[in-house]
Amino acid sequence: MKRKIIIIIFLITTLIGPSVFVAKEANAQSLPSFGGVMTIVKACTCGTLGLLISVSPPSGGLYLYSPKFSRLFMNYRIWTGSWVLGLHTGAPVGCANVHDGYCTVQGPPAQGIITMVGTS
Amino acid sequence: MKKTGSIIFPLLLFVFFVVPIFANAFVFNSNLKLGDSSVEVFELQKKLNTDPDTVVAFSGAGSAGNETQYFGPATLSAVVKFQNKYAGEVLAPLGIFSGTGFFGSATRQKINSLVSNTGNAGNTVNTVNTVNTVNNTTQNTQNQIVQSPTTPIFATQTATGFTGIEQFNIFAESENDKVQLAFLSTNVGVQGSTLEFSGTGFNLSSNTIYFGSNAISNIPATNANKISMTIPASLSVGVYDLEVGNLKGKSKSNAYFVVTNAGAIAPKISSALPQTVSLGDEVTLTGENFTPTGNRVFTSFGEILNLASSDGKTLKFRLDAPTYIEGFADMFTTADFEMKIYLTVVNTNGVSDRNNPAIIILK
Repeated sequence: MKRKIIIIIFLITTLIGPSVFVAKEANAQSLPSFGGVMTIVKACTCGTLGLLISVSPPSGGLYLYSPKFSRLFMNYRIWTGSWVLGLHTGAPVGCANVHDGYCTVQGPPAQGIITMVGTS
Repeated sequence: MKKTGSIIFPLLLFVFFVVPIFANAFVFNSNLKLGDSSVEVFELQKKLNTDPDTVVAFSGAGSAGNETQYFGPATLSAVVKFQNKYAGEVLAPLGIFSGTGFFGSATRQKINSLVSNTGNAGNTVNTVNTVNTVNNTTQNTQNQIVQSPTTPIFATQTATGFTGIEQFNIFAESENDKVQLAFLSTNVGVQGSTLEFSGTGFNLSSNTIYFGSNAISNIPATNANKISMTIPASLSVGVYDLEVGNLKGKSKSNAYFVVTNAGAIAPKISSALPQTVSLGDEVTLTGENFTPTGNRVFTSFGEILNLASSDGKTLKFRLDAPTYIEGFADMFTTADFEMKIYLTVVNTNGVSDRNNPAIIILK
């Protein structure tokens, strides 16, 4: 009987226990990353306010820097020409501006909203 | 008795280990709207109440510990707050810019992702923000970022010395046909100190490092993405724009390096006023070790050059809209616009503490 209990405890702690921690960590670590030179910055003035940032290779694309949502780290420079490295939500979001009185998305959407970014 | 024990004990283990896992990870599967009644509404209220930004009610029905199964106006209001908080993920992809209160698939997907994270809707950003050190392999251009609870991203790079390509190699082999200067181990050093930097297209045997108009030639690279060099004794104290050149061309970055005297005390910002500013406002920095001329103030959106400080304790400048950001002034005039601006001072004494930069709010 003791042997059975020991086996059960062993199975539970080795199989289920770690999965709790894996599940908790997975969400934070699964955010997609990006990095490269910031080449274009454009303001998104309605809808989701922010700055549309174009990042060149190595790991580039379009991303939205949201003043409310994005966390900026050293050297705190959202400048054209700065190197950036960060994480984004991975959920596409359009950069909207007012045209003819309407809030309109023009151009390709950002690949995601930046959650955190460090710069050169 | 033995048989009873053999059933009860695993049951207890199940209750203590397995049930809490599922209890902490309720998954929402149904659309919910005003007037609905269900267990899912109860769970939704519980979830919304875990975030101070999306509380259903502060007292009475719907408040924490008093959640109900009824989707009433208070629940709707809390769902709207939730949707607006995560508008970029929940609303924008649908072309909607303001919360509707309808608990549909996009909102469900977002709240489920938060549930599976920490059980606290307000923690997603914070959890992400504790992600700090960057760990990459040289084979993978998609850098991976791992958790470390102590220092901000790049703090290890700038504060404790360059940990180099080994830590964040985001440079693909294909990029090495172009000379680029990316990250520096430090922006401050004395003659004879070591400077390391990363980038692309470095020549293994010979590169020229430009400190302003001073060209230091024949500097070898550790590899195509890393150079380590000694600050030459011939380089006088000063703040220099930094670039790298070789047969492939010359970098075009906004990097800088300060050569200081041994024992120089870095500038320090004690206060930045006013704390809340508008575009065009004058900002006053007070602190220590500002130089009579040649101070540079770095903001999040630009650099203000050659500022004078007659007393060494005060710097004044005007905060203008960054001209290179199309539409910035329009964004600024939006009612709920608010943005943190980080400030550092750079002069021949060094760089003010970037771990604790001065912050003003632009609104």
